[in-house]
Formats: sequence, C-alpha cells, structure tokens
Amino acid sequence: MTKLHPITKISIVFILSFVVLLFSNVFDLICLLILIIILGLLAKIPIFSRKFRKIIIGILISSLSIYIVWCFFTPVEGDIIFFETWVGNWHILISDQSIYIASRYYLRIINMFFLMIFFFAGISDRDLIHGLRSIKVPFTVTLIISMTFRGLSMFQQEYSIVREAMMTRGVEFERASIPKRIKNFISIFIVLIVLMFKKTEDMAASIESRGIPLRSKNRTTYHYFPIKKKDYAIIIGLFILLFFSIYLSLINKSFVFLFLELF
Amino acid sequence: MKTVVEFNDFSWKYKASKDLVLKSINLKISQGEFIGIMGPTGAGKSTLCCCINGLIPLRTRGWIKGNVEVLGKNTRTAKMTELGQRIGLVFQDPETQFIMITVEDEIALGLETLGLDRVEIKKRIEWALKLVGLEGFEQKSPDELSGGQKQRVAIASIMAMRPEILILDEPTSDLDPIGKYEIIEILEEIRKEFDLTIILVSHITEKIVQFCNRIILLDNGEIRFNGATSEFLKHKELLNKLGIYIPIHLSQNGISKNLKFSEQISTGKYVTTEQDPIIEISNLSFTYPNNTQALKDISLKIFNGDFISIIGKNGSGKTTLIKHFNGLLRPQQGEVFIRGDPVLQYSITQMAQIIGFCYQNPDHQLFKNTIREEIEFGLKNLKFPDDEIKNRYNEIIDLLDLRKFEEIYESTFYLSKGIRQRLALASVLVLKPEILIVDEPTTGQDYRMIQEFMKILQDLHEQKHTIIIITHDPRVIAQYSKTVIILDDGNLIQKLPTSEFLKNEELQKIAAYTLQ
Repeated sequence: MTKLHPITKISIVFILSFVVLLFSNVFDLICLLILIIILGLLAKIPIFSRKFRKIIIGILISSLSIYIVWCFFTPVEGDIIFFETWVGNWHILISDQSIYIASRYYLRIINMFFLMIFFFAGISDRDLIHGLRSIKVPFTVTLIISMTFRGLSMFQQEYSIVREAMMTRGVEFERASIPKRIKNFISIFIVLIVLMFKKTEDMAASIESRGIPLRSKNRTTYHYFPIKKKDYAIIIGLFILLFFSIYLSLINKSFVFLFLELF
Repeated sequence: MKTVVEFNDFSWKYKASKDLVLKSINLKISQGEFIGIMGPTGAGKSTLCCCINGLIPLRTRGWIKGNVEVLGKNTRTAKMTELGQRIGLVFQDPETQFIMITVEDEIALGLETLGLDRVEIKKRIEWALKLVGLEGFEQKSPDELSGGQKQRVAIASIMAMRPEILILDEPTSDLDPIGKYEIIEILEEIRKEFDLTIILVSHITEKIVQFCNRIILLDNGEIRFNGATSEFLKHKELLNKLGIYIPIHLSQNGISKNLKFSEQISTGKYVTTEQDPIIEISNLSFTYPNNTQALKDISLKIFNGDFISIIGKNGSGKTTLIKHFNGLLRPQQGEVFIRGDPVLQYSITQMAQIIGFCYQNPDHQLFKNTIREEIEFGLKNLKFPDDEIKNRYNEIIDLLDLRKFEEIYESTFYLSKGIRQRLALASVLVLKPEILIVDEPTTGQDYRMIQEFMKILQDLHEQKHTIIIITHDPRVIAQYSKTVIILDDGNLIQKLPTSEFLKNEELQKIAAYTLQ
C-alpha cells in the first residue's frame, strides 16, 4: 500500500463529513463507515493501533447513551412497540422507530469520530501545507498557514512556561475558585499576548532578513507530490458519491436500497 | 582587498527612541575578513548588524544620516530581497527564526526563493546539516529540538543560501561551551573555503580573540576601538571601563594555555553544612510523552547553604531535573524529598516559600504593570498581611537597588532586559525562599550585567541561601559555584567540588565545558 496524496486525504475528510450528514439510512451509514475504514487503512492511518483502540472502544460505548435518550426520554411511535409504560408523567416507549432513529444518530457519531481520527492522525500540518502548495495555492497563503502553526506551537510552549512561573509565585490553578481562576488566566494571556507580539515581529524580521519575497516568479518547489492515478480515482469517486448523496437526499431514497433495486 | 561594507558618517535613531543609537559611524569591511563586534548591552551592536543587512532603513522606521554601502549597493535604495539573499543574518533567538514545520522545510525555504532546482536544494540541505552537526534531523519539527539545536538550524538555513556576507548576532547563546566552540570553528572553515566575510557579535572575549582578525568595540552608538585583535587586549583601561571581560589566561598576544580557569576560582565565604540534605532525590527517572527519557535513575543529595552549578550538554536533562525540585514535574519513578518530606506533600503556596525559581527569560515571569505590583504579586497570592507586604517590598527593592527605576519607569515594559531580570529575581526573593534556582542567568547578557547579577546571588549565598544555577558559562562556574553536578544524556555523572572539576579534564569533556 502506498500513501495517499495530502489533497486526497483532505478531500476524504471534508467530502465524507458532508456525506455523513446527508445519509439518513442506517444501512447507508454502515456502508459509509466501512468505506472510511478502508480509506483510512489505504492512507496508512493506524486506526486500530493501541493508541486509538482504547479511545475507539470508549466512544463506541459512551455513544450508546444515544439509545437511552431515544428509548427512554423521546417517545417515538413505531410499527412495533417493544415496551411501553408510564412513570408519573414520564412516558417510556421503546419502538422499532426509536431504535432505528437512535441507530442513525449512533452511526453518524461513529462515522464522524472515525473521520476525526483520519483528520488528526492522517493529515499533519505539513501535509496540509504541501497539499496546498501542490495545487498551486499562493506562497503567501501557505506561509501564513505555516506561521500560524508555528505560532500555535510557540503559544502552547509559552503558555506552559508562564503558567509554571505563576505557580512558583504561589498562584493556585487547580484549587482556586472559578472567578480567581479566570483572573489568573487573564493574567497569563496578557503576558502571552505581549510575548507573541514580540515573537511575531521577530519572525517577520527573520523572513525579511533572508530576502524571502511574498511574490516571486523565480521561486521553485523542493517538495514534489504528484497526484497519482489512485488519488484521482479516489477524489473523482468522492465527488460522484457526494453528488449522488445530494440527489438521493432530495428524492428521499436510500443508497443501499437503490443499489439493491438496480441489481 | 575589495571593500564589501562601507559606513560613511552614518547615524541612526529609531522612531521610538530619544537618542541616536548609532552616531557618525565610519567603517570599512573587506571581503574575507572575520570581524568581531563587542560592546556592552545597548551599545548598538544589533542595530549595526541590521544596517548591514538592510533591515535598517528598508524595513524599520527612524531618522537617518549618512550612507551604508554593502556589496556595492546603497542600503537606502537597494531591494530588501536582494540584500537579504546576499547578506545572511542569524539572530539571537532561534525560536523566532524557525518559520516552517520541519528542519528540511526550514532550510529549503530560502533555497526555493533563490530559484534552485530540487537536486541542488537537496544537496545544500544535506551539506548545511552536516556542517552544523545535525545530519538525520531533516524531518524533525521545532518542538523536538533543544534551544541549541534550533540555533544550529538557524545557522544552517542561512549557510545553505551561501551568502556573501554572514552576520551572526549572538548566535551561540543557547549552546554549551563545546557547541559554541564547534560552531565558530566551522564558521572559520567556511570563511576560508568560500572567501566569506563574517561579522560576529558576541560577549565572549575568548572566542572573538581566538577567531576574529579585527575587532570593533561599540559603546553608546560610537566606535571606541577598531583594529587588529592583537591590539585589542592592550586597551585594558577601556575594556575595563566598558565592562568587557578579559580572561586571565589570555595574554596580550592571544591565548596562553599555561593559565587556566582553575586559577580564577572564587575564594568567597561559603556557608555550608553537610548534615541534613535540603533536597534528596532517590532513583528518579522521567520520560516525556514523546518517549524521550530525560532522567535515568538519578540519586542525589543537596545540602543547605551550597552553591551548585548544574552543567551538561544541551538536552542532558538539567531543566527536567530542577523542575522536580519544586514539584513542577511529578516523579514518574523514584522520589524527591524537600527537607525530608516528599515534594508532593507540599502545596503550590508552601513550595513558593521554600524554593524560588528564576526563569532564563524574565518576560516569562513578569505579569504586572508596575515594579510595585510585580514584587507584591507573590505576597498577595500567599495572603500576607498588608504591613508585612509593605516591609518586605521596601526591603527587597533596596536590596536589589530597584527604587530608582520605580521612580523613572511607570511600566515594567520599558525596563531593559538586565533590570527586568533583576526585577524577576526581586519578585521571587521577596517570598524569602530557602533555595533559589536560577535557569541560565547569563544568556545573552554582557559581562558587567553577569557580574552584577552573580554578585547578588553570591550575597544571597552568604546569607545562607542555597543557590542552584543551570549554566553553560565557564566563568560563572569557576568564579561562583562551590559544587558542580554533571548530567549527561539523563544520567548523573558526578557531583563534586568545583575545584576538583576544574582539574578533571575528562569530566569537563563530558560536560561540554571548554576553557577557551
């Protein structure tokens, strides 16, 4: 298996996130989940590694609370009633429809969750920048994105240092009251804003001192990421899926059922 | 020889400054020279560098008189892109010079601008990384690098562009002594190979004297000395007046290896009792989330009243170790005891009164707008009564001689770095901690500022405070500390008296400590 192009990975996440919202049939959502997992494995994302296994199991279990909401707190009439009772004013009704709706929401959450893993584990900040450069996004835009990532990383480091420095002067973050905590965080952010202003100024000076112009006809690109046939195939497939999903949602039909009808 | 830089009666004042920062500078630099620029903090050294690179006046607002010609171009009319590509400038803070996401991308950034093809860029990246000793670091992100490694990347990214003039403004401040030596030695080799002109700003007299053929001494915006290195040390009176360090092992003609740092060891009064340890560490290990094992099974005792330097190469675990002393990091394995009790038993407020911690950059620990608010901040957090706050404030502001600044400056923002560092120390000392930990107190400071700051620490030590410093500065180790703790790759190599360390060349090598 080879790695997918950064643009393909970004397209997978954004297009499929939209498709998840369009699909309302449980079987469609199951098929989509399988597709996401296959694409994840194709993009060499360690979805089932030890690092993610615990989180996946946690999400699979905690998301089951959706069933409790739809079966015990949102009475929905259905063709088959499995259980019905009243406790005072509380109407508990478990029907085939409530289970179906709960399953739809459950699968949407799980699909979204796998796409999130895809995004965070599969698309690095570097992927994003190189992907954008490979489709000729202007250098200024990619430089700003890169500086933003650097800025965020610096901000995180500085935040942790300033927070520690405050702790060494007797500031309690964990045990303090909420108003006190807010006040402490405001103090940190004032220091951080001053520090980040200085750093941004220095970064700008560093870029200028190296003679890096924002617009240059001579600029070359070191990294070369050709979009391969497989990437084209996946991106075209994703767009077909997207348009087809929009069409099906407009005529209120299921992807799987339509497929079964056709064959 | 061809003149590459020429200042003609050049003066400069920043838009926001009251006085001229450079005054009637007349200076010529020829191709292939290795120039050292020295001078006290605020002398105008960095401004002079920016004038050569073109950042002044092309990208900075201010008042200007006279001209600077660099590589035949007048910096008033030249294009910044052209000057930037031909004149490399490495700044002191490597953090802000790292723009891209990986080392490889960072070096490639300037080379892409030069319009080089992919093969040439790859060659130059490999060459530059080999040059600074970071082969195999191509895919590392800045978060994975130490301060010293980032400084090497900053130098590599400029060197890869093969500039005609290379300006380095305190480029090795975060490096350990051997790292500093290696980098300057590399610069000298490149200078010879490419007939490069190098301008190096540094406070380290030994390095400047050893490598530069000419020294320019600046003071208050004026050139006070401009001549051959051999002449420089003859001006002892001037150097003393400007607070320039003259190592005793340097003779007027250069380096004399007969005299060593061990002869400079302080004979100051030390108050120490090797009875009950104030800090005790047993079998301490610590691994960061990225699997870097920073400390490996360290056991150590620190006694009341000691003056300790923790030394070792960049990334040897020094900061990780001291963060365990006051509970900022929790031991993953092993235990840390303060005055016989586990460190985790103390609350943050209790710990603040036992261990004071001074950060390398004072900007990280100044949170308030005025000197008074800053000093009172910790006392108010610990809910001291108003009378006590007032008394302690008056005591500390006089001890650290800060009262005059309180009257002059309304905001701490306008204080110089040296005074901000002193204020940071005052705000920690006002809590009267028994132990004071100072992380890199000398980085980027001139000799006079270092002496002033270290004198305060020495006085505190004589008042029975336990002082622990992390430092790369051999002068500070030799002159002030009583005990040396050597770390290497997370291991405790040895804890021994400074006098013994200064005689042990093998240990000095491990600690990346060099005398010249």
